[in-house]
Amino acid sequence: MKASSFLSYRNGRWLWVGLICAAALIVSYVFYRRAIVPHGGTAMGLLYGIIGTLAIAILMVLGVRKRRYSSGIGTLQGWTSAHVYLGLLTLLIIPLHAGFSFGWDIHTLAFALLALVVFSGIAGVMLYRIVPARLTRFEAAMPAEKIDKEIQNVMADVRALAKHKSDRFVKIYLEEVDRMKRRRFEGWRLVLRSGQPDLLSRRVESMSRIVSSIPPHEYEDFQRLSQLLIKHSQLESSLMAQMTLRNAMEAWLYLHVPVSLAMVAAVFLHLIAVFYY
Amino acid sequence: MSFQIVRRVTHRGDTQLQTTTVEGSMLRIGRGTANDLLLDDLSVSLDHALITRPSGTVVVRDLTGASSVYVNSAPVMEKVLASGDVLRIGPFYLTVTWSSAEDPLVIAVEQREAAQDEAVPPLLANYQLSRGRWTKTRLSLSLCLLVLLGSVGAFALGSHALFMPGQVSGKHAQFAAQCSSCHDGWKPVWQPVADKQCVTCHAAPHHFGDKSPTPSPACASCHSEHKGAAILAQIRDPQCVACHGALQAKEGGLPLAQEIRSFTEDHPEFALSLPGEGPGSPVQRVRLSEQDRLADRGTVKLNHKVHLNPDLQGPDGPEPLKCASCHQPDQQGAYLRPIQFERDCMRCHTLDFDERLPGKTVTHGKAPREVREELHSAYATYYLMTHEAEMRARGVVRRLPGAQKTKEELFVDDMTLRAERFLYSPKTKKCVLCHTAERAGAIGQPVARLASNRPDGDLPTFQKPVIPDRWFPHSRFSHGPHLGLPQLKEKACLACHEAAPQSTKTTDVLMPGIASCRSCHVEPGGAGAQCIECHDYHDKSQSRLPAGVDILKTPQPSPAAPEAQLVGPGARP
Repeated sequence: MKASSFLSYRNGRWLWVGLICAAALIVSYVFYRRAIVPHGGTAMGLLYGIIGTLAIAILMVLGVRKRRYSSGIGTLQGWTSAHVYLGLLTLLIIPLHAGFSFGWDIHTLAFALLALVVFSGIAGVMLYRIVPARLTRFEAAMPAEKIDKEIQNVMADVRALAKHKSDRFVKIYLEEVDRMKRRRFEGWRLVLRSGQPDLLSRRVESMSRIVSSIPPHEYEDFQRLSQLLIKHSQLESSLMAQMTLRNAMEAWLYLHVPVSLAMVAAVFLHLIAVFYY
Repeated sequence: MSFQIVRRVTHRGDTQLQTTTVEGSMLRIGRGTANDLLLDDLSVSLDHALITRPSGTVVVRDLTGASSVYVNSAPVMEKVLASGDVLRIGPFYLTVTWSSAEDPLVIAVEQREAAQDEAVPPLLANYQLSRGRWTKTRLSLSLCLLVLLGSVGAFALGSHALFMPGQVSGKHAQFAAQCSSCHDGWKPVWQPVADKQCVTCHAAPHHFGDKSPTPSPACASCHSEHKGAAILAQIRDPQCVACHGALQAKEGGLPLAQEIRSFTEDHPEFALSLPGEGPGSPVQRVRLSEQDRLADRGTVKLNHKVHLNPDLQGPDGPEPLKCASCHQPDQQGAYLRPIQFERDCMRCHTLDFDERLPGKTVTHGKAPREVREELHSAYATYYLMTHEAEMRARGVVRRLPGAQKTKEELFVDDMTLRAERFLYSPKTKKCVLCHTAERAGAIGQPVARLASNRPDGDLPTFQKPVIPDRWFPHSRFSHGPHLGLPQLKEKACLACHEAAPQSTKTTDVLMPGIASCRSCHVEPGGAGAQCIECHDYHDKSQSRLPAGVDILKTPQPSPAAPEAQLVGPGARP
């Protein structure tokens, strides 16, 4: 399966449909503009508006189709492919509907929100092309869910090690558990902050700080403990790296979906306003 | 070489130890069923580790590449084992023992779960976006609420401009916030605002509405507000072409302009409005290209060539004339002042009638009957001046009707007749130079008895002087901006009115045709060539004002003075 198969679904069928529709719309607009001053209230303007509304309705259906396992209306991949090209088409339909006249009002707000949705969608498509390959490299070694389990196992080892050792060891183990419990949600920080903290060096550094206070007879055990904790940090770094990529693939949806619903609200207001005026 | 695997197996609540033997020199450990030692947990890789016994040693090798095999709690990639070492793979603890190099390797497998008391929380949830506080649902609801409440709030605060589909034009902007000035409640978007809303302030007459087979378009169909147009009267060509591209006119209406799409391409040759042939006949529309019908029907004769002759002689010597010597712009600078004899002609064309009375002229513009009175009084005065003694001696004489005329009276009559013959004769070129006699006079001839009721029955009657003033009443033109153009400075008027210096006939029409205008007014790239550059929709054909008159209604005065009600010029009654 090709990586970008939803873009080239069925030999790019939806790309061709989109291009043909775009050409037809542009040609119709050229004739329309020659005849009268174009704006949303003319017969053609209203037609473009109806087409745009239908397009938006169809685009929203993907949200429903995506959550159903099977459906009689087509494959998810086909729907996604159609969604992408129809979404790009709406960026053309709406200015044609408006006659390319914009201002500081709710109508332009609806279009601005639509543009934001489409651009976030384009960003999403680009992420879908770049990220999965990078993610596979990590996942080949150990996928995120497994890392979690492995970290738990490491901690169990640390516990077993520290159980019969001096207080210092136990303290280190409990501190580590505490640190893990106190963790705050970091999902967004992964995506928005460039560069992750170097957990490994921090760990090495903290271990080397503690070592000075370890009595000589516990050096060997401490070495084993350090190795385990370093492993823990390695696992954590790997997890963070993987989750960064996974979150990047998901984060754009947090813009795309809410803004598209806000856009629908704005379109609703737009319809009320134009029917009064 | 063999391996012995000892596992604790729970079967139907019954726990017992199960021992399996694996032959071979290596033990494959992993999650996959192909492995010799199957460790069934997700945190174990498919092929996780390999235990071999090369030359007496026991070596464990990590196959995952991530050193996830722990020997005595230390992660290793490859390690030589000692008997009693505890390997950890995932949650499985493998205790490896052997007695000697030939004996089988015994591996006791024990599965332990992670300690529950100091529960280590899973890290994955910390990083998953869907576990955060701002889920997609919450974000969607918040944004929608923001848009809706924000709009309602803005509306409640009176900011109606947010909901307008476009800005209001300049002159209407002062009441843009009061929507009800024009809008009369809810209506479908394809219906424009009704005319009656516009007519509350504006009184614009219709555009030849009686000649159109379809109803006149609504005001709002051309003057569309909320389109960001600064000036609402600036109508673009497509609006005009919507009708004039293929004009449907009723029988007898507008035969000339049927299909016009643009000035540059298919605007027809200009047409003049000429007065009808007879009195009371309708105005005729004649194209400049129809040479046979084209004629200046003015009744005052003029030969431009003579006047523009560079060797023209004036009263004080050579006086060559220019166009501007007679044709001056009017007050607005748009059209030209009508020619006035006293101002423009009289300097050269004097109306003196007798060399004995130098400088004495008859008044221009008076009917021949009044001219006769003037002549009478001029000669009477002359006789008085030259026969002073006689007049003083005679005293006041009142001639009774029927009595013989006095010497004085006979003199006056005689001289008047001579003067009249002089003035009205075609040979002397005084009145008749420019005016045409409708009925030739018969100066001094006896007239019929009936005509004696009218003592001046022998005088000629002249055609009412008519000089066309507005040639193209259906467009507006301003000379001012054109005369200021540098390319016209040299030739001035003759740049467009080229035929004037060669025109000898009064009937010559000296108006420029469309080609002259098209030399500059061409789209794209030239001077403005939109319909509204020259034409008005609202018929102001009788107006002389180039920019059109403001068509706001003036406030209605009290009913006592109804004649003061103005509804704008050009209004049809």
